[in-house]
Amino acid sequence: MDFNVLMYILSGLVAIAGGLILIIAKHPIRGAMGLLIAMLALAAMYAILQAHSIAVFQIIIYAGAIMVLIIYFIMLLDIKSDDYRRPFSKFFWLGGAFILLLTIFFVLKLYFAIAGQPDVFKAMSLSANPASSPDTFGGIELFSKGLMSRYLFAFEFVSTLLFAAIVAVISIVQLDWKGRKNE
Amino acid sequence: MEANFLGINMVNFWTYFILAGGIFVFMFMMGAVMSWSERKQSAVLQDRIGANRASIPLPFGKKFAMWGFINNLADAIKCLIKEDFKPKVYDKLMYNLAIFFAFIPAVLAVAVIPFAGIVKPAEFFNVSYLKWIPYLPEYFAKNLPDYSFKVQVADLNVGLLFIFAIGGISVFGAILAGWSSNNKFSMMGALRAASQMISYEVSMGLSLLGLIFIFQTVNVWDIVQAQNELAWGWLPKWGVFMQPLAMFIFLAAAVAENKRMPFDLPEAESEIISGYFTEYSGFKMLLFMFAEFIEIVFVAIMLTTFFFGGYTVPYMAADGFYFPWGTYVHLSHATVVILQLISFHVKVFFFAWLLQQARWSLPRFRYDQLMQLGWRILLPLAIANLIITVIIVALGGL
Repeated sequence: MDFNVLMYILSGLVAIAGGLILIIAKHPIRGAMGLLIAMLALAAMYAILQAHSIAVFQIIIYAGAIMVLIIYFIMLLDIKSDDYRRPFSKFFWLGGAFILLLTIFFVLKLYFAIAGQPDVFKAMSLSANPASSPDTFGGIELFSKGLMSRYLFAFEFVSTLLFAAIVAVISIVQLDWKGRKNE
Repeated sequence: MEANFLGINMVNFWTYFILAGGIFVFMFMMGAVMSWSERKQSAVLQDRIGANRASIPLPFGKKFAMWGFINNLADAIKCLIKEDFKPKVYDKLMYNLAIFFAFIPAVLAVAVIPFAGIVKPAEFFNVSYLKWIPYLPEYFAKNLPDYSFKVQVADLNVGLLFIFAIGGISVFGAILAGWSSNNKFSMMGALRAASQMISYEVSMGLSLLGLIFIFQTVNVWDIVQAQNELAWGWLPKWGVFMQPLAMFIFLAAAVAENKRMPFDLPEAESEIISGYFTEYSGFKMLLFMFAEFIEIVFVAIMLTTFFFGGYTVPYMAADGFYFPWGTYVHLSHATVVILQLISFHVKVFFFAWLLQQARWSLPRFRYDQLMQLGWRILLPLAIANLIITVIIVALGGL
């Protein structure tokens, strides 16, 4: 077994643990910390797969900006909702069954993908090996070229979605265009 | 020698293990030196003598005080054996986790900084004034004749962005510490720290973007290499000559990120006791202070690396000096590496001193002035600087 593969599996487990903390935690800040752990572990997985720029952007944007804002507002508004202390709702079993089905689907997919391989770990370590990928892979050049040409429309389209979300939030808190509260 | 363990080359492993350990120790020693010089420097500026009492007794009635350096040692011991005072009601997990969030990013980001150029161990020891070293020269000449490594722990192709990523995480230390302490002053400090660090991160990032445009890379190693080239045949392409305005914007924004004196609102002792680490005592408090000192050193390292040529010495290449008037002075490999290390350390010490000097020279900003400076002065200046740089680079200058 390769060190890269070992670290990859470890960070995957950490990401799952972070996700569980997010759901189970009884205080919003702890939930947010769980999300932070999951994001950092995801960044570690990207880095192990040699996608350095995606790993770094994962940390800068999600851990460094979005999580800071989330925690900042939890702190500022001092959210102490009872929702976090209540046991799981009646949809727990429904959601649980759905997640179980999804997990089985992915495990089966993984099984069929690797069933034909003679040595699974060897194949995995090859894919995570710096020597087997071209020099430019994961670098900032390929990333920015892709973002500015092939995926430009999708990128800009998502940002219009974010704009729509901001408008939606303002309409929910019912401010008119001068910033006054609507009755 | 090509032993493998879990697919790791053992020679590389030991090289980077020693390198990382050495840089780790360097940062800690610098933190200790900074906490000493902070005292002594404040004393000198306020016309006092400063710490000089703690000493190790020597025979014949002499005392080993080392100009107050022993005081640091005494402080560390005192903080270790003090009562660890905690608030009555607090979030224990987050309270303890906050220290790590404050401390680890401070030492982690140094991983991508090059401390010197490429070292070839076999050639390094092959010089007259290093002949006295036993065993090592023969070992490298025999076993690893062609081995070479960079004096940099991680040569990432996104190195500059890595520094910003780690800087973004360090905000959590202040936020969590302030929130978990269950104290209004801590909370106030944490809110101030978060908003200040987020605001100044923007102008800090924009000020460095100009350098990325000029050098066409985000790899720290390549940026330092590019700064050793000459513009118009005589001027080293240091960041400060290419981007003078960006240097000042970066300096202001970095001191604000560091929560140091004109920008020390998050821990303003005359307003909110000690800000976000009010409720920490003993060694935990010391760790917060220490993290701040290490961050000063890191700001000095960043200034050196991005604006003052990093480890490079002007006109010096890998085999000697090439002066613009045509003179060539040959230097051995070991001399070049040692000169590079000295160059790096001299620059870092100078900027660390400068940043500390600012603390005793400038009064604290008011909160609205802080936000005014960040958003209305530094940010537009950084954007204007960036636009001008882009136009010049696009027109083919530089």
